[in-house]
Amino acid sequence: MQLTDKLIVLADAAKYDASCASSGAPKRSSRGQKGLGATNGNGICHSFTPDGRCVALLKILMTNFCLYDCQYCINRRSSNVPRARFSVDEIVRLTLDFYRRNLISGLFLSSGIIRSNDYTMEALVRVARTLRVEHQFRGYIHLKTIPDASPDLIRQAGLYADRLSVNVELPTSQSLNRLAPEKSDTTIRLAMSTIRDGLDEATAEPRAPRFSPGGQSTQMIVGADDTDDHTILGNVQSLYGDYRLKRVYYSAFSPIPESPSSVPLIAPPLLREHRLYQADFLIRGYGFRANELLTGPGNLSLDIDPKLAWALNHRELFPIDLDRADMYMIARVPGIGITSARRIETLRRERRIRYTDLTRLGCSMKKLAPFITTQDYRPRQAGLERQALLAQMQTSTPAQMALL
Amino acid sequence: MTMYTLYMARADFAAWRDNARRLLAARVSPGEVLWQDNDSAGDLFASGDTDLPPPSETPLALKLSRQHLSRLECASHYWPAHHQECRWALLYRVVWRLAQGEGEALLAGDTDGAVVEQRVKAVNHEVHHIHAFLRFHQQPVHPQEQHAPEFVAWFEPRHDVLEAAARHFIDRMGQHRWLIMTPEGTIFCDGRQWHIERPESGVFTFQDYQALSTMENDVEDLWLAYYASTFNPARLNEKTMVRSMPSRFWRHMPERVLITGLISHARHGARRLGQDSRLADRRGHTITLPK
Repeated sequence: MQLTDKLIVLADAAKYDASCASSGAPKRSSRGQKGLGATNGNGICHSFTPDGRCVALLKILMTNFCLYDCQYCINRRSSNVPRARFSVDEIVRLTLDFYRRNLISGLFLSSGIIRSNDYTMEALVRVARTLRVEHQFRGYIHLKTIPDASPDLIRQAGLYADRLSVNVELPTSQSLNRLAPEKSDTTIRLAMSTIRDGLDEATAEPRAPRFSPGGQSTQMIVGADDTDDHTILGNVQSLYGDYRLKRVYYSAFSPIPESPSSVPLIAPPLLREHRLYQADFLIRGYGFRANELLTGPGNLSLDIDPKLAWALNHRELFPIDLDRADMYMIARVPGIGITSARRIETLRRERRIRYTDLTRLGCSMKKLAPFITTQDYRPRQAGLERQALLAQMQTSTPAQMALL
Repeated sequence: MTMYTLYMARADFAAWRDNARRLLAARVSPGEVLWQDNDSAGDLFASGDTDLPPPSETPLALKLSRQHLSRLECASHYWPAHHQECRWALLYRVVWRLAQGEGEALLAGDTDGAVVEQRVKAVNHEVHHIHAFLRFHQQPVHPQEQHAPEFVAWFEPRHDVLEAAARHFIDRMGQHRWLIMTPEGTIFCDGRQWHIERPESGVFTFQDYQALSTMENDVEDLWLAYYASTFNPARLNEKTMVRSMPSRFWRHMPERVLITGLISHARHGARRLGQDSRLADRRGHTITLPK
């Protein structure tokens, strides 16, 4: 099989992994040295495909031969797809050639399970080692970890990779049992704790060997089973707490060819995925708890964002006075982000806040208007009940009907 | 009232700083200075004094933190559109106000601070763009040509981002020799040092660049294969793509030839599945578990 053909097969097989982050790596430079590549902590999106997702890394599978039969996966053993396998040299060549032309910032390598878990993991580590040691590649490397691989191999992977990830795959262990019978929630979590222990050791002991400096992340597929957002967010919150995760990625389930009847054949729920990312961001960055965003079973509302939904449910806390309120509370106002909240705090040390300052700070005026007061502004809608205000906030642009 | 006219080179923050220091010392208010650079049209009634006045008896002075100074320098890399204020005049008004004790002049909520903030953001964004969307092309270099660049690229930035690009790519490219050409100047790196050259007069054109570069195809074809395959038609969302990768950059990116085709193909049914439709027609095979 030609290299181009392999690339087509194995990039197609890998694209269902949502993560493409190339951030969080330590500062490395190749200036005037043998070898290639640099990282500085910031990610770079080198291109965007028409699905709106960025291309930061060469995201491929080493092989899409797989012994597992996960129902949601295009590469499951019962799936009738063309199969291919890259050699180590082919992956190395592609990575370096693309990197030199500034097409990518590194490699995101994953694989189907062949022969055994350890055999597969070892092959992945070999690619990373060849890049780092033989070619002195200092760009970004993200390795997907095979959950059942031995802890020793995971440690080796951490030596060369900037980020390791193990996918939890589905939001609950019941769904995992049903749709991915060969995988187990227990071993996935064990692998995640092995990585967490490695991270802990590396931070506690400055001279400890390098271990995945960009941390670990995970992914769950949304919409392949019927778990609701309330359960998802609850589980995600505990994942962040238990495993020092940098990120949880949500991947709206895309329909696959010859779809088994156990998974839906519908368009991927993109808006739901978007709302989950927003809620996730509120949990990570704004100190929200999952049960504040969704108080009972159900899904996040699709027509308004989770922060606005929360504020509408807590009319009694608003409007707040921007000259007096805590920064923590200012950041909770819909339309004001963390950066703007900090800037408001700096500015009010110089003088009192005026309504037009917020325009200049780039806040979303329409969203924040009912929730704040300043010395020269009082919301007209202060007395409005939740429902009346909601009706006012919703944009009522008619949507074009679509066939698909 | 005397008007002072100061002529500035296109990218000379140090010279502006020098002038600003002397103007503050002489207590010259922003309204009394006319800053001239390539961006601003000449003043029809220009008759200003180009010699700066001597320091006043009660000179103004200002100590800026390194962070504030680098913010001002970054804002000076912004190339204003014709209706926008000259960058040196804006910066001088900001330091003048700071020297008067108006600490808010550099905060994003202030009228001047907001403009500085907007310019800093635009410059940083453009730095990000050149880091991300610039494409190198490998050149056939004879082993005896030890000074010819191995990789060349053309880029059309909106603001002055040459230095930021130089610092970035020298870290990435190791000992390779490379050349980046833009209308306002070139960066050449010999594998150890970089050097920026700005044209004495006029600008470089894309034709100048084409004259010295050869296109290559092998790796580009692999890249196109990858780009089409990593695209998921079921998630078609061209708005987000255009927002994140403005179309002004497409012209010099290899993937430009695929974008419209992928979109229309997805719209005409390919989006039923996530799979690349080139694979759908090919024979696949299922795997039987070993006994």
